[in-house]
Amino acid sequence: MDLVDRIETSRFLGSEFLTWLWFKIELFEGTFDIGELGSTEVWFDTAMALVGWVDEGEKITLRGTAPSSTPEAAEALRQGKVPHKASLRMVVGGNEEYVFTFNARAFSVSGVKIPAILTEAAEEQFYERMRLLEQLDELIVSLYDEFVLLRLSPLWDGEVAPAMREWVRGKESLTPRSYAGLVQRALAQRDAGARKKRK
Amino acid sequence: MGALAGPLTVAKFTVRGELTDDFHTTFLKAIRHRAFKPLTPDEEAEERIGWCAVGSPLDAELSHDAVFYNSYLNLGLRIDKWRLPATLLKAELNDAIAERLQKTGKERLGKTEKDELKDRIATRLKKRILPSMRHFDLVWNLDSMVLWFWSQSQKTQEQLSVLFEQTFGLELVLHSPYVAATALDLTESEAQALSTVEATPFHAAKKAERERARDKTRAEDRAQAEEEE
Repeated sequence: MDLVDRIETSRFLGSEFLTWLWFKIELFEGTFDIGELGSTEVWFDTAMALVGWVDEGEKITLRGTAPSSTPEAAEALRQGKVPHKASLRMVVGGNEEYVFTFNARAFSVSGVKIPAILTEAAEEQFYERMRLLEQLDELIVSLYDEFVLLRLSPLWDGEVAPAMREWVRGKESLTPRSYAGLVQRALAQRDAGARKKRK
Repeated sequence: MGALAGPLTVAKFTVRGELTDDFHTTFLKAIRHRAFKPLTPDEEAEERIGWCAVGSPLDAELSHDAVFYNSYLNLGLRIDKWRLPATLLKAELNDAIAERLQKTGKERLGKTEKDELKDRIATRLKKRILPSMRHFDLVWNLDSMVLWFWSQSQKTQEQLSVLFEQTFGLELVLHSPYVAATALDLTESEAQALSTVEATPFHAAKKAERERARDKTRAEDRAQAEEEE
């Protein structure tokens, strides 16, 4: 399969990433460390669009405060719909707040509201805007890194996906501690794989 | 839509390739070579694409300081196109055809004659209107080789990719879930797993299997029907 085909046929990874993020937000009640940026609050903001897992013609859009917490959202997941676009709010270090829409299939952001820029000089404003945009990108890349670590490890089929299915069914699955243990094991497997290659 | 102010709706690209030691000099020369030049009514081109300064579509001089902001390379992509009012063009063409028929005594004009009249009318109209102008900023982080582009239109992104490769001799790769994954520091086994990964159902597994099987059957039926045609 050539690169263009692979890009198109793997767009589902974007929706799986959003679903995993939804799972993690609920597991950790919206606050967790992200990469080197430290403690970050993350939550779904005012809109979430879901499509059918197989038939993308089946669509539902949820609007309002915390759309991911509604019974309609839970039912949509149980019926096999996956999020493909959502507005998210992230607060880094307790005071830098971002609001943006994430398009999972395109893996892109739109309508990004960045934290207020305090500098007045035009050139400095450019550098501050870019610092903030690149910080947001770092947040997303760090989250995606953790998702991909789990997604491509043998633990995905054996433990992570089953836990997420239990969550979709409204049942208790992982605790934050057991989730952290999964991540550690996936990291250890990755390091072992990298060491094996270097030998 | 801009890098300097306004909404942040951006597409992310990775720039593939290496920068040479003298890239400031070579890039500036290449950028100026493909700087935007306005459309004129008498030329054949209906559309023109070129570089301008970031945030300033009217500035195509592109000095070093207008392009290089420390570790960033900033540009604007300007696209001008003639958009002639269709109804007016048609009305003037009909008048011109009627006048020509009367002068020549012919009953109708051939395609070549009509096209020639249409071109003349279009040139005349172009002297009375201005081309439509669109302008999109880009910011290229030369350290991380990530490029941010202020348009999510596929067509505009393709136009950017073509002009970028012509100018810099480097490839632009648009991010997607797959590309974003390959940009991470994957091990060999992870890269292998990525190349064959399939979608995970999070709802009832048996129902998901039935849906997948039904979808596969429909795809096979469609393929067979196309073959028979």
